[in-house]
Amino acid sequence: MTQVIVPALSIAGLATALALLILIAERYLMDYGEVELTINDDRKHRVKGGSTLLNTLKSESIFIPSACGGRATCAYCKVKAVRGFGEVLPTEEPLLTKEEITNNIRLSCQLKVKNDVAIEIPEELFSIREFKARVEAISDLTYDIKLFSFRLNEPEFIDFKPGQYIQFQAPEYGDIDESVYRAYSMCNVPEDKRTVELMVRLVPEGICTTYMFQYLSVGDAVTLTGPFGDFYLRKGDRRMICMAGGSGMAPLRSILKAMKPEQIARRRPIFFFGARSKRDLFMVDEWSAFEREHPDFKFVPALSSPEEGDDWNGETGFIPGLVEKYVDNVAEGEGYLCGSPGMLNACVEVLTKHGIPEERIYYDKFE
Amino acid sequence: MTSLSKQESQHTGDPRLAVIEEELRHGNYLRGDDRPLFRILEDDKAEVTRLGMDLDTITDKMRRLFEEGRKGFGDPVVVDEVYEVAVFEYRGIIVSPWLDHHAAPKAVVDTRNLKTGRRLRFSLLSLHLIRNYSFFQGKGSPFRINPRSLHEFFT
Repeated sequence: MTQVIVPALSIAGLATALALLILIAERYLMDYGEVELTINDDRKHRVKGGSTLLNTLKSESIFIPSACGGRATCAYCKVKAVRGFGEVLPTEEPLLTKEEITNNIRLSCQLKVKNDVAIEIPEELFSIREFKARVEAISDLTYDIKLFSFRLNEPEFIDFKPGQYIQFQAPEYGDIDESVYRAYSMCNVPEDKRTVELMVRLVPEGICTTYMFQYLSVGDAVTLTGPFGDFYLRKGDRRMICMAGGSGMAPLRSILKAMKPEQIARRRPIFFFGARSKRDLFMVDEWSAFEREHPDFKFVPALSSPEEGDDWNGETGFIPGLVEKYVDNVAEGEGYLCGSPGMLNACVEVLTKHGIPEERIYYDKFE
Repeated sequence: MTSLSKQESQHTGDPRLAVIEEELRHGNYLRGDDRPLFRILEDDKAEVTRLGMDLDTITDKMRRLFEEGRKGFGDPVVVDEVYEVAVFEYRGIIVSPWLDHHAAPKAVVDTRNLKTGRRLRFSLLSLHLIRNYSFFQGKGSPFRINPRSLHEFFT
């Protein structure tokens, strides 16, 4: 037995050592020197070669959305590679369509900057910043959702569209020896440019939410990157059918609270908010006050499983089932959704069934 | 880095396994378990064989519990009159630590066998790792599923 195991382990050990050697050589010995990175034809940056395009851009304070830490999984970090990069890599292929490959769309986390390169990215990405901030307040909204308020320090101000999200960086802590980024929608209105507020639901064993719930305290320094996202109020006069559950209330709170009174009168927003039982409901008083202030706005909370003692006289059941009851001529409306993937699917299904085309249903998938 | 097949992952000396092991330790998937990855895989594989478990069939059942359970949006749903299932979905993805470019949606499935009273809790990532690599996670990992418990839950 030993005669078999020892040679096998020796070969394996040798192969591992060689693989590590190549990795070390790539990381520490290969010097690509300084190269030129051209963005959108007119912005030229002298950068140190050898890193991924995603990290190179970050070092130039240009932040491309990324949710997977550069592991070629989320496909958020697509850019147009104009010149200087090789063929599409096997790690990119599964995440690119044929049309994207034809148009030189690539994953910036997989591309290495080894020579002069040129790329194209949307202009709005230049407005994304990394913010140093401090925790100003933390409060419980429910037993598993907290409201975090951050005061921005450097830079001091943020411009965002109501509905957009920001990435929160959880540093290394406890057994976690890697910093991670997670995306959360802002729930405050953009008028207070020095504040970012997030509603965060605890994910069991979640790296970032565990940090935020168990380690983060008022006064702590944090890093935020953003704003990101295409979920915001569209122009027009269509009735807004808003649907959310849990912490999905966040972007809709930002959108609805930022609307002008005449806009609310015109768009007649209705907000269906789903929760399991009364202990999962929050900010009901705030929304009731908003209803009184704006007679053309309606808030419809619904409990899917009221508990004994909830003393609930409101709607029950899942929110997609309530649309028909409250909205005349659904097909003329516009959908604004935020929640879990399962809830989003159900809401999209009911709105399309009632005649709203998918292109008039807006949400961030965070997938 | 290409993904390892089930057979490859059982080969104790594969250098890719060493890289994956580092990733797993880094991500706390081997928490509280000092055994090397190949030993963990072998021990669980031996248990799976002893119990005559077919992991494709079992993970198909787990997937079905997720699909049926998610219709309750977090409320318990009874499936096949045997399983009470509550699925908790969260926004976002979890990247597979097996370096296989797989991302699992964040979801936790809590289920109870109404006939036996046994409970099973799993994430969609656990399901992926069990199905593709026979990896049940380290002994102290919060999403470790003991093969015997999994077997007993479905029998």
